[in-house]
Amino acid sequence: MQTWAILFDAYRELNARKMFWISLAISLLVVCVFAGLGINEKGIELLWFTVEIGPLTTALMSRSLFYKTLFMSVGLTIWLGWASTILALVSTASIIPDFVSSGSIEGMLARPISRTRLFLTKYFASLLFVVLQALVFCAASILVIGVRGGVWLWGLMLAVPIITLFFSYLYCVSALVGVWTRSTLASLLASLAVWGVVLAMGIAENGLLIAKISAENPIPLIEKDVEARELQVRKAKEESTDPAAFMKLEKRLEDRRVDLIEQREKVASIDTWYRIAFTAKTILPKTGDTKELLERAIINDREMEQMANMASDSNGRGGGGPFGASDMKAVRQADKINKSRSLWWVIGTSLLFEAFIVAWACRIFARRDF
Amino acid sequence: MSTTANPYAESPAEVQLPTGPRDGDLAIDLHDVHKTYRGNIKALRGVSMQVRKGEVFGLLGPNGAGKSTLVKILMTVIRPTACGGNMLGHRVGHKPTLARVGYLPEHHRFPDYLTAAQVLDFFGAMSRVDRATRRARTPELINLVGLKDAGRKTVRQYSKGMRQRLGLAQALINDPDVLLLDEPTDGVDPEGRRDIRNILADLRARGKGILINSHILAELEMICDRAAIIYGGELHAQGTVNELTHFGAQYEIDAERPPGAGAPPLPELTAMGGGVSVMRDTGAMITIATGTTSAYDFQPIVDSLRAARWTVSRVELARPTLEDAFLRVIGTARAKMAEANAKQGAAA
Repeated sequence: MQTWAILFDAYRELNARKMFWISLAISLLVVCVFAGLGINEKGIELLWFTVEIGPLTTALMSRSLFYKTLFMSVGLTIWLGWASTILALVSTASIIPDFVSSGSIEGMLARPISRTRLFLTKYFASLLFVVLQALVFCAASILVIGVRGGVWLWGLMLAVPIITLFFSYLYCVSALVGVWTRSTLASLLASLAVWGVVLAMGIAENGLLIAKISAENPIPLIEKDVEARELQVRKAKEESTDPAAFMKLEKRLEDRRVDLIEQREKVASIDTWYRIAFTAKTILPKTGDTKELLERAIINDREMEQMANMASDSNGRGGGGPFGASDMKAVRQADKINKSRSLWWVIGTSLLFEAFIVAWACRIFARRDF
Repeated sequence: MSTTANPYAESPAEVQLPTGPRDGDLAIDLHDVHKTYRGNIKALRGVSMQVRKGEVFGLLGPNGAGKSTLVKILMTVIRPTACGGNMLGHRVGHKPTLARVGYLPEHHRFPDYLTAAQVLDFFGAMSRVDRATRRARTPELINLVGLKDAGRKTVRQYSKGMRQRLGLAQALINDPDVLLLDEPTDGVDPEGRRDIRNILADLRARGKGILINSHILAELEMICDRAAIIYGGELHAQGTVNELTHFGAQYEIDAERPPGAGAPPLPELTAMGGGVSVMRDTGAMITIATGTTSAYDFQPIVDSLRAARWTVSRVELARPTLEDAFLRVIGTARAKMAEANAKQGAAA
């Protein structure tokens, strides 16, 4: 009864918040963009026109993949993963500080409900903002894509728990700072700061992984080269060739050995930093990896391959952008490693972080005199 | 029957007041409540008090005396450093008991996006009142506190008085056995105050124990059966309103000079001693403070006035107000504290 009362109150509170409705209106606007886009055998459909954009036709990618990619890149990454999350953080930052403020909290604590249960219920009820936003957005997207493109992507509903999880990693920090300082601004800044640290750590870990793979890739080649040169030197020694030529061969072998040692040292050095970054990332919530779980879930292997080919085609035409061919190989390898990480590592460790923060906030709430 | 000390009494005969209730009648029975905040700030220093079922009990004290801290301890908003006794037969802090307790916090803020009915429904559910009862009680309580005309207005459109009425209604949603009200008439107009008094009188008649925390002593005097005065975290007096206002009570006599009468017999009157004094002398009329609450004791004064051919026009037992009693107790407590501090300073 009390849990439902708090949940229902949270719903009423959302209804009273302008930001909730603004965010919902923008969600529907983004869905309208989906309604205006499509793909056919000639090109990209824009409202009722077809625009030819190079090879972008159903021959290159299926309708299903087109809409999935559109949802992933615009709906999930840009809207739900960024803009909507910032709006949600701004909008919900005041919930806990208002809840524990003088005048409000007394009436809540003076009820037959334990402080721990009261706080946890309020915390989870606060996530309703994102649950409802994501639910409406995903349902509307599925409907529009189904009607417009004839593809019913029910798997997009997975974005609701994924985005809720992603938001909760950040909101727990807001709740902790909120109950601690009772300041909305401090709560908001803290959650944004943690998000910034998490993003920076994600970029650093991925960059170091790519650098490590890039440095590791030439090692087998150098090893092979050293072996070949050793053979050459041995052969020259047996055949008692010209001493000058022999010394030259030996010098080259020595140089390659030094190259090998230097390369291995380079890998070891990067590996040390990578391990530090990886450990830090393991402790912190994995916002990016959590969002990528949707890609793993809704895009099958064949479509994944199609996307990889499209990416390599475009890199081939564009000269690989900032990366050379070997770097691109490392990027793909790193991507593969990232995608192969277990659900436990992505969600489990993030939830451990959240549980720790929420338990800390709960302890402060349970022990404080209001 | 137990007794309660009356530390502001000046004569030994007044030290004990016969105010103790029977244990089964107690709604709140607190013993030796202490609260020390961080930084060794002592908010409560061994407070003991009892509130009976079917009585209105006033908790009086200046700002920072510890009144709200005591009420918050009862409602589990603040954790006591030490607390003996119980509320409704359960230890203080026993959460399920709070389902039988109503509470109106001071400066409360209800969710301003809710209507009165929604506030009552929400807090009713939080107090574990079942849905059917909430639905039945909500319109009753809205009528009772005079918010019927508020209709679909949300709390943010309410005046302070309306919010206070709503606060009282939410405290009653669970039909509590004990009601704790922190400044219930704060911001309420005279009509609203009368309504609140009537509601409290009705609740008292139904056997509820009511504890009121207030600065408005005239209000308390009208409704309270018993009261306690708290200062510096200590209880300095506890008893019925009559007992608290007993000190300083005395008969007053008005006498008028009829035509042809001489001067009042002032030397004779003041020579009587026993606290007899002239409070007012206009020449045509005098008011005499007898210094006694015994009708027998003031007869010589009347005789003396009559002998001087003055007409006795009024004889009345005048009692100090609760405010007078409060100021006297606080003054004594403050002086004692200053003395103790001075002694401490000297010792240091």
